Amino acid sequence: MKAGPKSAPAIRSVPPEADDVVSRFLRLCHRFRRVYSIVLLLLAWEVFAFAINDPLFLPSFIAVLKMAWSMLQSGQLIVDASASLQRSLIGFAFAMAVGVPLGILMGWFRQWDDFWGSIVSLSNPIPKIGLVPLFVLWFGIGELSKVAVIAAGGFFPILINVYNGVRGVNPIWIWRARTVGISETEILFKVILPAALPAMFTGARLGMALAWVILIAAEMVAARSGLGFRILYGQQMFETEVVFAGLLTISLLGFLFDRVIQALSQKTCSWYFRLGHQAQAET
Amino acid sequence: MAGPSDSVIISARGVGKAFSRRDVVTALAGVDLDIRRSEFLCLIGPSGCGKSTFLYIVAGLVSATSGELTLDGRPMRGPSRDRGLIFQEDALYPWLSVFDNIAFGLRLRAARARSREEIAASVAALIRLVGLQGFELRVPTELSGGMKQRTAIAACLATEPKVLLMDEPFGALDAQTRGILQRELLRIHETVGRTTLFVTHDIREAILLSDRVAVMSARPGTIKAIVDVDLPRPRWRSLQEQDPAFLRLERHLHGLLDDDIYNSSDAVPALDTATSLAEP
Repeated sequence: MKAGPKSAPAIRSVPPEADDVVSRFLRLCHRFRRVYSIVLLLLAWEVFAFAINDPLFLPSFIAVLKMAWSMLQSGQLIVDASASLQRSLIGFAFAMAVGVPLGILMGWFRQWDDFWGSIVSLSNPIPKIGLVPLFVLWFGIGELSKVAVIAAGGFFPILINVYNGVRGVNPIWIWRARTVGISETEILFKVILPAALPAMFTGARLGMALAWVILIAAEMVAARSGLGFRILYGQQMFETEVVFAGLLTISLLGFLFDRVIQALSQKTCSWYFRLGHQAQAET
Repeated sequence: MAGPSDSVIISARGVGKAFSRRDVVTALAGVDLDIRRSEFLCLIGPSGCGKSTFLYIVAGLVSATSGELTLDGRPMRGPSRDRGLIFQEDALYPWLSVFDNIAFGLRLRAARARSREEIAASVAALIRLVGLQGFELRVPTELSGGMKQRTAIAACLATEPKVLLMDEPFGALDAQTRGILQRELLRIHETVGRTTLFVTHDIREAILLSDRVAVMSARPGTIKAIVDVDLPRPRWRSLQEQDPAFLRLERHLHGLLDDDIYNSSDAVPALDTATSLAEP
């Protein structure tokens, strides 16, 4: 994410030490290069909203911000966001707690793969939102049913990525370990886990994203709080601003979590990202 | 050379390997080879003759389908710290620094609880031996191909294996770096004096490094001849590849290899002028 845009050709021609007004302005423009598309989108939104002049169909972005601000002040948004956050984080933690160990075991031991592989392949394609009615039947409309759906949704991308990560470990790394007399548990902790860590982070990113998607859907079906509930409520009350304020919050929170996981993975697997850059440089 | 003797460290008797795919492919057919204590033995042969397969069998990573292998008279089973392996491509752990890669084998349970200071001291000595001072904290992606193989050699020596196994370790390097590392390996071998089995397809490399060269024939692979390299040691400073004795050995080995090279499927005889040019 960070390295690619540095080579944007437009600004490369400006020497970094140049201090005249034009090059300083160009550098400033370059710094905000990733924001332009968002600004343009919001501008288009405003123009559209003004042209249509139907706040029920498309409220202006300013009106949405105002609504979000008043929801924040009344504490409504905090209550909803924290309810959603709590569910998604607990569900995600469950998904990780089961998906990571099972992925490692299935990737490393043939018997585990043989036993669990078909169950995983058959249950993975089930849309997890389809489980909501079932879980409501089983666990009621309380927290448990929502957490269970999120856990079920996040579980599969985590499992599959961890599994692939373990399976994809360079066999030479394992061979080298064996010729220095490594034990089976040491192979797991000193070779397999560090080698598969980047894949685990990929799984975590996908699992987290999916957890959000499923959470909102689950909250629309059966909940009295949360961002998904608030969005549906806004629609039923014909308050389109509330719908947009809810969507905006989801987008920001999801973005934030993705960034946190990405930062963690870049910190713990810096070697993996360097490998990528090396490959890029060589081609 | 039949029967175990004191000077023999590894003995292979009728070691064979057959793969069964659609039909059975015999990669190795009965390899007999004695590796003597602290000698440098090179295994050369045309590509596909199974020399690397034999090396991996000795390492214990591939199982033979026939024959037997002994180390110090005891049968070998699976890989162990007795036999260190250096791979053709870089097998360093990219998440570990040069220091940690070398210390990897010393921090295992099999190393029997060495203290932090002991490990640091032996790694420092190895880093000096392979000439990597100042690069201890670099990670493999920051190293050149030559430095990676230096690290691999140090990491392999760290666990003090009885035998070093090397699978074309300089094959992926450019000619200049390869030349430097060949001399470095000579120096290390002549300092440390560890038994080494070295696989290569480069005849000059084999003569430069070894005490004996075992020539393999292709499909199915067997040992065709063993040639003594009676060039004086230490060589790392002085040996010239224009030395008449060197050239005589080179011609001899070329002759041994040629029949097989011309018989192998991907031979292009017209291009192989090196031998005829070497003739006086």
